[in-house]
Amino acid sequence: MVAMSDREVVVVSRPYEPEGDSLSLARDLAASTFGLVVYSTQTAVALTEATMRSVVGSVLDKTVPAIADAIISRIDLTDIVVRQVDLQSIILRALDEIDITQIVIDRVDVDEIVGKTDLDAVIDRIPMLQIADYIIEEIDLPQIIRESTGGVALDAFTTTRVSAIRADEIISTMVDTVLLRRLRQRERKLTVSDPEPDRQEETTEEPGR
Amino acid sequence: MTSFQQYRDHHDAQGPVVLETVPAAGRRYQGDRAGFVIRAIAAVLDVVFVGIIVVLLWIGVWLFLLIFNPLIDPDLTVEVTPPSGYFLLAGYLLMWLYWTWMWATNGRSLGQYLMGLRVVGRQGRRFGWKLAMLRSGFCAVFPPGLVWAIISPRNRSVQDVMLRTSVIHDWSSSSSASAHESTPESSPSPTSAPTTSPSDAGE
Repeated sequence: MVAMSDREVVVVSRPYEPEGDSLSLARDLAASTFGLVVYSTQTAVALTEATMRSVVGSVLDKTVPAIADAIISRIDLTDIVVRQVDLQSIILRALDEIDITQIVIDRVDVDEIVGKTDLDAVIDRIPMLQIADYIIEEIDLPQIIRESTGGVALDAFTTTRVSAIRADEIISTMVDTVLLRRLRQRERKLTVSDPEPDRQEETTEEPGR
Repeated sequence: MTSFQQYRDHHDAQGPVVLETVPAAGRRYQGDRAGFVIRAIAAVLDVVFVGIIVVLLWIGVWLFLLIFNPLIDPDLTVEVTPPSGYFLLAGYLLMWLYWTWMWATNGRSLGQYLMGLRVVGRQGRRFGWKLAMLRSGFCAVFPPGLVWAIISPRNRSVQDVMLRTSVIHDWSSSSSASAHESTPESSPSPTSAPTTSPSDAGE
C-alpha cells in the first residue's frame, strides 16, 4: 500500500518586466493596428453587402412582378409554348416516368365509381343474347339436353331413322343403276339456289325415263 | 375453344345464330328429300295410329250395342257386331281428317314426326288447309302412289308430283318448317296455285 502524500502549491509573485525592446513594441503595435483595420473593413463590407442585398431584394420584389405581368400580358405564352415546345415528347417522357396504373390504384376509389355507375345502361350495351348463345354453343347445351332427357327413346328413333335412310340410299342407288341414271344424287337436296340447271337436268333426263 | 371475340366475328359475318338442336346423326340429312322406305314407315305408323282409333271406336260401338240392344237379340248373333264396312269407311275418313289437320297445322303427322320427316309445299314452307285436304285425300285414296318415290329422281310420290309438294328430312322438333330452309324446288312462279307444271306432270 502506497502512502498518500500531500501536494503543495507555492505561489510566487514576480515584478512586470516588459519583454523585448521598443522595436518589438512598435512591431506589435503595427500588427495590432493592421488587424484592427482589416477587421473593420471586413465588417463594413459585410454590413454594406447585407444592407444592399435587403434593399435590392425589396426593390426587386416590388418591381419584378409588375414588370413580369406587363411582359406576360403583352405576349401569348400559350401560343409560344404550343409553337416552340415539343409537348408530345415531354408528356411521353413524363408518362414513362410515372406509373399511372399504380397511381389510379392508390388514389382512385374504384368501388365508389362502380357504385355511382348506371349499370343498367352498361348492361344494355353488352350483347347479352350473343353471350348466351356463345356459352350455349361452347358447352353444347343442346347435346347436354339431348343426353339428359329421353336419351334412350331418342336413340332408338335415331337408329330407326338412320337405318331407314340407309335403306333408301341403297334402293335409290340400285334404281339409279338399273335406270342408268346419275342425277339423283344431285337432285336430292331441296334447294332453289340455281333453278335453271335443275330444270335442265329434268328435261334432259326425261327421254331416258 | 373459341373466344367470345372470335365467336362474335364469325357470327357477325354469318348472320343470326341458329342453335343446332338436331342430333349429329341427322344433320347431314336435314332438308334432303326423303326416300320411299322412311316415308312408308311413317305412313304405316300413321295407319296403325288411326287403325287403333278405329278399333277402339268399333269396340265402343260394339259395347254400346251389347249393352243397349240385348233384348232385340239375346243370342248375341251377328247383328250385334257393327258392320265392318262402315268402319273401313270411317277409317278412310279419319285418315283424311287426321292427315289434313296434321299437315295444315304442323306440317307433319305423328308418324312423320317420329321418323323426322316434314311435308312441305312449293316454297319449302308449310302449306294451307286446301292443299293439305287435297294431298291427304289423295294419299288416303291412293296409297300406292308412294311407290313412285322409288323411281322418281327427286323422291316424289304421285301425290307429290301432282300437287307439287315434297317430303323432306327434318329432325328438328319445332313445328315451323322454316328452320333450315330449304327453298322451293325449281318453280319459276312461286305465287301461282299448286297445280302441276308440265315438267312435273311428265315425271
